Amino acid sequence: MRKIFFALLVIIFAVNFLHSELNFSGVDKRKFVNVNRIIENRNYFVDKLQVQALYNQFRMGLKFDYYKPHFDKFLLITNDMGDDTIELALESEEDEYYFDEYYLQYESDNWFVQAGTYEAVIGSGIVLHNFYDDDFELDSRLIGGYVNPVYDRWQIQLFSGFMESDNPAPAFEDEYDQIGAFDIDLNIVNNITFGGSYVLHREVIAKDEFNDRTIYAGKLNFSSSPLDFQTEYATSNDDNEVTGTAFYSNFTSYIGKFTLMGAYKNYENFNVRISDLPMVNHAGQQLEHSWDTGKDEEGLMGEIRFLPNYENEFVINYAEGWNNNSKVRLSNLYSEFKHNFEEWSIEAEFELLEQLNKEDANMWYQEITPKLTFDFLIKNSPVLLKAEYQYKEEDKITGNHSHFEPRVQTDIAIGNYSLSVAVENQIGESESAEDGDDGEYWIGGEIATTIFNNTDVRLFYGKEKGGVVCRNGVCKNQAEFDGLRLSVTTTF
Amino acid sequence: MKNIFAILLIAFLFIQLTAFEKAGDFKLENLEGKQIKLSDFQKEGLVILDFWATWCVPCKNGLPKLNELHEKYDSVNVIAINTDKPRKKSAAVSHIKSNKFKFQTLFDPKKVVQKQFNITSIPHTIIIDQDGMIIYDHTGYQRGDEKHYEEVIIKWLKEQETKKLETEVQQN
Repeated sequence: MRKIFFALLVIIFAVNFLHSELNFSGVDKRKFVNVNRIIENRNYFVDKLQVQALYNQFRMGLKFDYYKPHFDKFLLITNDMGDDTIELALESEEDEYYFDEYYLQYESDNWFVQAGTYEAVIGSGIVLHNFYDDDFELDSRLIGGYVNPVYDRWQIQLFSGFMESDNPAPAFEDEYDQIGAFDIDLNIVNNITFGGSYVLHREVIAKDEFNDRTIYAGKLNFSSSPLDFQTEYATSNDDNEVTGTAFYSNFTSYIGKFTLMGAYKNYENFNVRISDLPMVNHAGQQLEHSWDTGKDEEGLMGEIRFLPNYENEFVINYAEGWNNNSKVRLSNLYSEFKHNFEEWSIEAEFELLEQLNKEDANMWYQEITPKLTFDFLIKNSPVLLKAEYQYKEEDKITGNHSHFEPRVQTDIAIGNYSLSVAVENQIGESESAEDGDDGEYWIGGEIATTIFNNTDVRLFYGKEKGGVVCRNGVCKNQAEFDGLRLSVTTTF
Repeated sequence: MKNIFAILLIAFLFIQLTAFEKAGDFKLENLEGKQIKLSDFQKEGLVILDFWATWCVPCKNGLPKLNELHEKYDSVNVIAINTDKPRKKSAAVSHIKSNKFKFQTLFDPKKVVQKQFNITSIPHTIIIDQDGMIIYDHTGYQRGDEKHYEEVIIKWLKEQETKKLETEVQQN
């Protein structure tokens, strides 16, 4: 007991001593989920606690994750799966707890140094982008060291680290890829920045066995008030003598009330995990769902944006993508008109997406989405009405299927409470596992509020489809869901 | 083991109680590729930090309103921190420049500042005073939220006015 008392005294003394310079902050995200898994309604609980301490120019952070059990939101469970298959799939969801992140950073006027878990990026991400995405549960973060001197005319990134292998085989559970990188940016002339980088990626292929891949890249950026221009080229070679190339370029020109934008991509054998390749289309879609991004593709995109005045905005965007024999293709058209008043606004959007794959699958897919959004105030309470009428058509060896997916959403906020309700229906049959059956409804509602000034509470109940969902003024990438979800986020 | 757990728990609760909401300084790249520090703007008055991305419609709806506040109040600086992936940076630059927004736009591709301010959802708006204290923190944007931001600004301006008067009285 005396030892505990003594330890507490030491902690209190230390914190008080450092109080003027030491700053603690953090966030605790707790989520309780009760989800329909067809054979049973399953309960899940997750707590993600992130704490950081700031002392002068040093910052130390820790993140602890606790799952009981781990909810695999992307685990696709459908009615046509047998009970045994579902049970087997659910067995993979186990209780887990671990330190997800730990780091120490030092930042001065010209130096940024860190050790531990970190995200890294070179240029637009073509060469390297190691990141964590909570919504999609993607994790390519590095554990290692990072040094970044930054001066007016130049900056360097020098880092190395370990990245958890994405090979799902049990033998790779504790195996790591190794990465080392050097990147330099030189701002020799005003508005123009040149850069070059070198990356060594050692991909683990068996215990103590690696496939070494080296990447050399160059980049050029030009920025001015009438024109922005960016271009990047990278070439890679690995132990298997596979040579890859990636070229990405874009320009934006600001001419009075018009903004003109163009982009071009050309990727070959660049379908690797550490690259985050620009898609070069408004929908952000890969060439075709079963086609590896970066394996073999080329594409162009153009956009015209017209803002005649503060109230009106017109956008039209068109993109085409193809592989080297044009058997895999994508086309995407997006247009938007927005009119803003002081107290309300109206936005009309239209999007067409077409994908074709005659290379390794005989399929054609089309998606047409008209959308209308009204946003206004009733006695200081914001109201949002959104309606879309999506049409999907698919032509495969198994036949042609088409269906409509009308969706209506309304959000209203009164005082400290916000309520959002969305109804989506399917008219027509579909073979795709992500879609539902003819006549199926997805009805879901969320109530959100803030308590104690620092705690955000959100309660969702019902069914919703996946994708970017903007509800009660907050946007998230959601996976398909059916059940109850309570999330409580406290910042301190 | 139980004792260690108890110590950690009490220490953690203690840290929560003693934690004061002070914003640490940071440095990020702006539209022109120059490194910008938060502390450079704090000297001028209030700073509104707004975390946004091009794929987030409420975020984009809030930006013109923040630009209005930036232009209306001399002692208020809006800093919009873009959270898009680096491959979408050109779209973010185009959105800011075509709308001719006057506030500072900074890019946080490695999420260092998002972590520093405990950002878990966007849009997220934080108001920081001259002393670096966080005086307002809000997740989401719905039409009319800018009125709450303005209430905070007006309250702060009044406090500054009172402080100034008190100082003048003391000096006289």
